[in-house]
Amino acid sequence: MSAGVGAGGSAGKRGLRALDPRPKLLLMATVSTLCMLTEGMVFLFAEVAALLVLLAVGRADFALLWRRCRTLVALIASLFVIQALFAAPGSYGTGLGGGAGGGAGAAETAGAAAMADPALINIGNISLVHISGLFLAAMLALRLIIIVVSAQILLEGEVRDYMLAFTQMRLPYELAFMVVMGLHFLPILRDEAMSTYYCMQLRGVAFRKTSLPKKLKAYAGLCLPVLVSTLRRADETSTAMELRGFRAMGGRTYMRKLVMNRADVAALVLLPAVFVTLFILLR
Amino acid sequence: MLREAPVDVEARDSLAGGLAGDAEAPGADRGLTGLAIEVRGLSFAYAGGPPMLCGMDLAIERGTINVVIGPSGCGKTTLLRCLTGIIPAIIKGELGGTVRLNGREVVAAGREVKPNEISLACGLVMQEPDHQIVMTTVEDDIAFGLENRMKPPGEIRAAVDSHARSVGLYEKKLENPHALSGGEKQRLAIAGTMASLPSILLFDEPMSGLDTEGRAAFAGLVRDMRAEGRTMLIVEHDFEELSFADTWILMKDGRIASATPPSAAPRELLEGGLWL
Repeated sequence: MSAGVGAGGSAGKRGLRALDPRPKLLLMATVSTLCMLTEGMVFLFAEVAALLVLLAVGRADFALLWRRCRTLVALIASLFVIQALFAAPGSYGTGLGGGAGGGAGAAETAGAAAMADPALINIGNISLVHISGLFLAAMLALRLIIIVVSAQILLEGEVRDYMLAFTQMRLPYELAFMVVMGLHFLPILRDEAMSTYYCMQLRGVAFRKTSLPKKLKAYAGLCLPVLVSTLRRADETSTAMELRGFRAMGGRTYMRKLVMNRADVAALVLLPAVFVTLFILLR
Repeated sequence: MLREAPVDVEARDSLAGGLAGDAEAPGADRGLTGLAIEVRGLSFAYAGGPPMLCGMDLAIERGTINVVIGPSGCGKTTLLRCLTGIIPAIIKGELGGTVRLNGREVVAAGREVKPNEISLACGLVMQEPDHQIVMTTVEDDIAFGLENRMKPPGEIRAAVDSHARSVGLYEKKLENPHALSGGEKQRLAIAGTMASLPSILLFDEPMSGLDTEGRAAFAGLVRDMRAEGRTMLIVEHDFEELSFADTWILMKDGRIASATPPSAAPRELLEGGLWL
């Protein structure tokens, strides 16, 4: 990416960081859409692999990536377990079952599905994990992983460049600001939550090494001040923006302008094309 | 889809131009006689609260530095809110009297000019710089006001570099403002407001987060802005550091108790009796 009037642009940046935000946005949209359109496990695996290769080629910091994602990995793992445990037999079109039936033959259909898709774990009369459930859970987990990994590609860039990209893509600037403000405020709100957390600890509230009901009560006590400070912050920021002339002139200019170079144009065309080709071949 | 808010072009242009707000031609202001700020019979009470301003009258000459002094709760911040249009546009309550900026009436009962339109003539540096910083890099934050004023990119870049240098943040212009120290954030808030080129600048305790060096730099900036013909109203407890101001305005119980040159300041102010 290069930039117009003295933006600093991509100087000193390498790999994905130097790429214009627009190819990254298009790639994110393509990858997320394709993973929702397919039921093919092979394609989903291929998509994850391709994204990881792209991150490696784009010189992403995998240690940082892991630090950002490790909480989400635990969340995805728990969703996988829940999905695998509670999915009905034959709920995934693997040829193992006929899907949930209805009407008069529902019981027969369900029985046939259970026969074709036997339970892997039984507790008394309750069958818990089926092969189709495992497939369904794996697909859900892969889709979430794809969204998380493709979001990492977006994070290989600066928030302010995305705002410029949105406005240069003719998105109303108020909307672009809303998106960017959201991204901008997440770390600030996290810091405020942590400050409140430490303040409460200093005043003797125990968050660890205490009973579950007391923990829940302590966290409930944490939520209210964080919520109030978030609302206050949003209010003050909107006032500050007004006081600095936001929307006073019915439009605005920009100090910087994103200009795509050849590599950006190539990425804009080729990256989505690679994923669409994979989709056509492997879905 | 969001639609553009209808803009009262005539009113806006009268604010931006008619208020002689553009410090693009700050020199044009210099030597002009007339009032930058004219407050008549201003009274205000927050909803359900006691009166904060009680029929205040105030007249500020163009191109002057004015320091507002007074004990906590005497209505200093409320006055700044009225001057910027936050009252009555955002904060509601019982309002009386009028405010005129560079000759144009902007606040009056039954008349509401939006704060963003007033901001074209009158900038405010808030007490908490964290609340004022809205962008993700220092340079973008300084540029924010100029971009809203639809200045050409080259002009914005030049102004950003110049103001970043003037507050000692040029080397940090690509950093995230929220990673700056308290004093640096305060300097950024000042630069962001100054760069927006309003002819009237209001400061709410601007020196509270600054160290000795930062205070001296602020005093220098204020003097420079007076030389450019800008009008300043500074609410500050450490008023003695602003002894070069043209007027010290003493506020008490929602009214102006005195407005004198520092050399003629009331004894109770100099002896600290005001806060007793």
